[in-house]
Amino acid sequence: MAAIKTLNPKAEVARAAQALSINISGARGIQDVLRTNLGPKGTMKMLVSGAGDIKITKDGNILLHEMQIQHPTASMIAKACTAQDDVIGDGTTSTVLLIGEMLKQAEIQIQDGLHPRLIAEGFDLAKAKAQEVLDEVKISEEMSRERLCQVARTALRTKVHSELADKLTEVCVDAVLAIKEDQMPLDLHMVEIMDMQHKTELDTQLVKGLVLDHGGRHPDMPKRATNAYILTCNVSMEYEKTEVTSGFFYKSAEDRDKLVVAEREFIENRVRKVIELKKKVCDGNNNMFVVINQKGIDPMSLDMLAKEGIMGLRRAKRRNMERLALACGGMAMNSFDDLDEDCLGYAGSVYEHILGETKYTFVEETKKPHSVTILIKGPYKHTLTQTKDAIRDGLRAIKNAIDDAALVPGAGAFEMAAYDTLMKFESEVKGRARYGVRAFADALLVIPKTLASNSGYDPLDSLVKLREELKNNAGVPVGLDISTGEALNPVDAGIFDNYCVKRHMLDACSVIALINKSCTRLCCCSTNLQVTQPTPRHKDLSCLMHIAS
Amino acid sequence: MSTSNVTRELVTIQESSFVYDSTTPTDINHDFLFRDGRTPLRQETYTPRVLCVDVQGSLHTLPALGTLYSPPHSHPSTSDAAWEGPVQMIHQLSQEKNQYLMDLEEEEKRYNSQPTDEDKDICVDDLIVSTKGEDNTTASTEKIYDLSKSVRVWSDFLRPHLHPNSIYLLNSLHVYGGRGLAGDGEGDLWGFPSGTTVFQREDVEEEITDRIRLLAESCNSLQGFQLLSDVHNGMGGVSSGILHHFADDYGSKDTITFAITPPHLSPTTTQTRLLTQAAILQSYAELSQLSSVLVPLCLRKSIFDLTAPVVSFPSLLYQEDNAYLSSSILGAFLETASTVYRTRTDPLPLAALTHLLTPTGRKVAGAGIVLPYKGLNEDSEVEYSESERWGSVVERGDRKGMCGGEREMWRGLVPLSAGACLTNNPISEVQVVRGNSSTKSSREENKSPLERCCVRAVDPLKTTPPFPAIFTKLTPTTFNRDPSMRKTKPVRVVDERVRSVSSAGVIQQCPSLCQMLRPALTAAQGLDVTKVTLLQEEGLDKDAWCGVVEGLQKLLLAYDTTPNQEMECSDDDDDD
Repeated sequence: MAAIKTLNPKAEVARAAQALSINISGARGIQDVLRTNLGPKGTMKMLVSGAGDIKITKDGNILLHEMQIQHPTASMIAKACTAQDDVIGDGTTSTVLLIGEMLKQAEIQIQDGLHPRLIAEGFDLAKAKAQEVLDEVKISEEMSRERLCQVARTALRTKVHSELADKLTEVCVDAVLAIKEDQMPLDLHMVEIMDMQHKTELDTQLVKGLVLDHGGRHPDMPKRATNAYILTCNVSMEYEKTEVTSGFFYKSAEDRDKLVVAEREFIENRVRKVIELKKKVCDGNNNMFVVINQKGIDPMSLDMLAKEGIMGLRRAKRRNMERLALACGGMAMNSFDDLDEDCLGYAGSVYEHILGETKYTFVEETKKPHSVTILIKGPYKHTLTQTKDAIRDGLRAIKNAIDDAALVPGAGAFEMAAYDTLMKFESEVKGRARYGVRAFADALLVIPKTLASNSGYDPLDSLVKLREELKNNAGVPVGLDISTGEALNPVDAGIFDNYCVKRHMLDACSVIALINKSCTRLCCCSTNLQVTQPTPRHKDLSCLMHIAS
Repeated sequence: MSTSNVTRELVTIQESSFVYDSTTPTDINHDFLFRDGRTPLRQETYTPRVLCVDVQGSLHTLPALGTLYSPPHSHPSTSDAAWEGPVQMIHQLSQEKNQYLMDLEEEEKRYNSQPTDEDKDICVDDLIVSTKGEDNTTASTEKIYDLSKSVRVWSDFLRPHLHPNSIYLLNSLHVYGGRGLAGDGEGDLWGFPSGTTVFQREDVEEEITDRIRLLAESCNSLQGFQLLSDVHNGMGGVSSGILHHFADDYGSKDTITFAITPPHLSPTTTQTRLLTQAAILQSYAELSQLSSVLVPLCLRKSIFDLTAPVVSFPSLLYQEDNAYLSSSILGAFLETASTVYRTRTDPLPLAALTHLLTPTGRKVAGAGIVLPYKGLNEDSEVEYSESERWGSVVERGDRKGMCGGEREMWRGLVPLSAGACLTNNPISEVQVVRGNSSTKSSREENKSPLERCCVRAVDPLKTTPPFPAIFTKLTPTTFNRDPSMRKTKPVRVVDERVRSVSSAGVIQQCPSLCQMLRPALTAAQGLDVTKVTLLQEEGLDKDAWCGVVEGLQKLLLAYDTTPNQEMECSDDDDDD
């Protein structure tokens, strides 16, 4: 204590109870901001920046990123949520609510004289028990399209309005099912997400093929190709210095010109090889030829291609090389030395669409697309971002469901079940740690309570109804019906959450709440805040430092 | 055909290059750095090919998407949210615009209200406004501003419109982690390793590389990239990630990297100072390996000592702690030097430039600037003149150590690559002179062993606002009535009316750069990273640091071949 004062006389130090209250106020502050977001009836937040940038969101993680968080505890929670979003993709609002509530419940117990350590012990016990409950209530089954739709709809309804949510549900599920291959891990990168500032968000659609955000750069190039062979390659078709580090050494202007001609010839040979192949496969039929290159194609090469009626696109996304091979067949070529027909993919229709200065190239009607594109439309940039964020969450929810091969009944059903079990479990726990278990159980209720209050019902009233229902029908999941405030069976209503989201939520909450509670000393040194910590094992969660007292 | 990653201050540079667009007789081909475009409303645009990467919250009054393609919503309403439930509108406090920005806005409004005459001018860009809109009010280029106090971030003096894809903001939560933004300046602390980690995030990498790709796609013959980056913080790490991407996807293109250390840094604690220095050293080690040529730009006399004296220019007045003023000098240099590959007639390809500057694997090149510049033909004996044309004067240089008329030309040269002494025994160099007709333009004169490329452009360097008033003139002593003042030397005062100056820049490869890099290596060897907690938190371990030291050693090795030559060039005091 004195040491830090000696090192830095300006340091401010907060001790035990004071430190705790600082931590709790941070957690509560952030909880208050996100509380209104939860559920399909939550409040949509519209952020208007000082410069006039608009951001519309209801996603906890995005909101946290938009806020300028200064409170050390709050930023620690924000960081944990970022980690959760990176790994799982959803459930950040619930996590924040739970952390805040756990600290609140713990505060009550601590004021009664319970040591934070004992609460920590209780939390650990309760967490283990809650995870058991989670495993009990989860529904493990083969994921049918209907189930996937239900889980995606549950996620999407909390992000965008219901009409759009239903539309996106179909789009997302179809996209995932298209790229899903048996016995292979699902790679969401194979779903390309492309946005177009055009029409309305309800025109968002799934394209069974690819949409590229660039087009031909030559006026004479065909704008539309039917029955097209697709050559995907990563070969430079532009005049440039040689690949090896070397310079041009020449004595006279003629020498220089010669070198330039020779270099040009080299590139032209490459283009000729493509043209040869085109002639070979397209002679005698009406098929067209499209070259999609990851490297550049310069105007002269474009001209050569255009003369042959070949559509040439340059600087494709690196990932699109992989996607193209999956969508159209064929393979991405790294050299033109051994070109033959097997390398080519096929698409029934390739066409350009121009919006302002941006060209979009649609590659459609592929035979068996293993890579698809979700084409987002919307009138403004901020609506596009909003839809994009929602789609990302929807896709993640579907992926999680497939990976877990299990779902958890939603609408607060898990929290109710866990509460019920924990209250029974409390009496089995010996010693004062049972108060920790109780605090944990009470904290879990924040989810159904917030759901109810966000939907305009009295939270306690609804809670009573839910507990009644739970008592009467043991073994049946009970959730909150947000349109009536009564109890409902989420399985019948098709409301499902991801198993891994809940599991991660339980983990993250108890760890963060523990750190904040057991932190007994908080130092503020000059302008940069440093908090001190008892155990180094949670270091990865934040850059805050905690010192044991 | 260049993409630059601009972090905070360097932006003057960009801005100073835009100003030129309304000049009529020009040697400069702007298509190299600008591109045509078209907004959804079918307006033709001409926007810079640039990608600015910055940290969230540093734009102040500038919307991230710009106003060119998406006119700002004047009154956003909750109905835009398209949500059945309740919508809460949260307004952030709007930042106050300074006088300059407000005048620009006025001009634009006036321009937009004018009926567009389609035959007259297809270039519907606000840059032209200044020449057209001179009706009764003075255009913003005519007025004199003192922005030195009001400018806080680069967007405060940004004149041109940017393409909506031009700005990418790193999320502050990823950047600063849990460290929290603790108010004034100290909060924006992040080291090189955090920068690398931020770039490795999938969403960040994808966004940045995709924007670069879109710019590259629109180029008919991409030559390479110019990368401008702060190196004293995590931006160095981000840049190294971008350079890795260049190496992967644009392998045959050249990258010229300008590593910038602004002079206003003053870390308060030892820990933060070490963090900053470690970032600088690591940036030099990494960036020099990945780019074709690395040009350090620094107004202090040492690249990593943050308290070393700043270089002084004979006829410029600037405060080292004012980023706006100091960056304008660096901006003037970049604008001058880049003329080499931007001239209308026979531009030097970037590949040739980098080849010229990096013989025998010497990746770091020195830079220097004469601002304002006076050529040989002008009378060098005049102590000062009230030349309206150049606005200011160059003091008579000390000719010690100079030989021949050629050296004479470069008196007043201030090396921007700290600590290096330029014009002494260069191996190869690129000289650029702007706005002065007295020098000849030549290419690769065969004057062995020196390889040289001289480029000249008639356009002077425009220093109309928002270029800060940093030029000085001497107050004529005759007007000084005070007898006590009469004996003293004439006082330099800031001349606010400088419209344009001539300038000369040089980038060269010389053995003396070794003197700049050696202390850096020593410092790197002397730093024990295990004792710096801030670096530990960033995840920098001993092995990684050994890699940095090795990198610097490798860099120095290329310079070590001629130990005798280094000794000869110790009289660098002339240039200051």
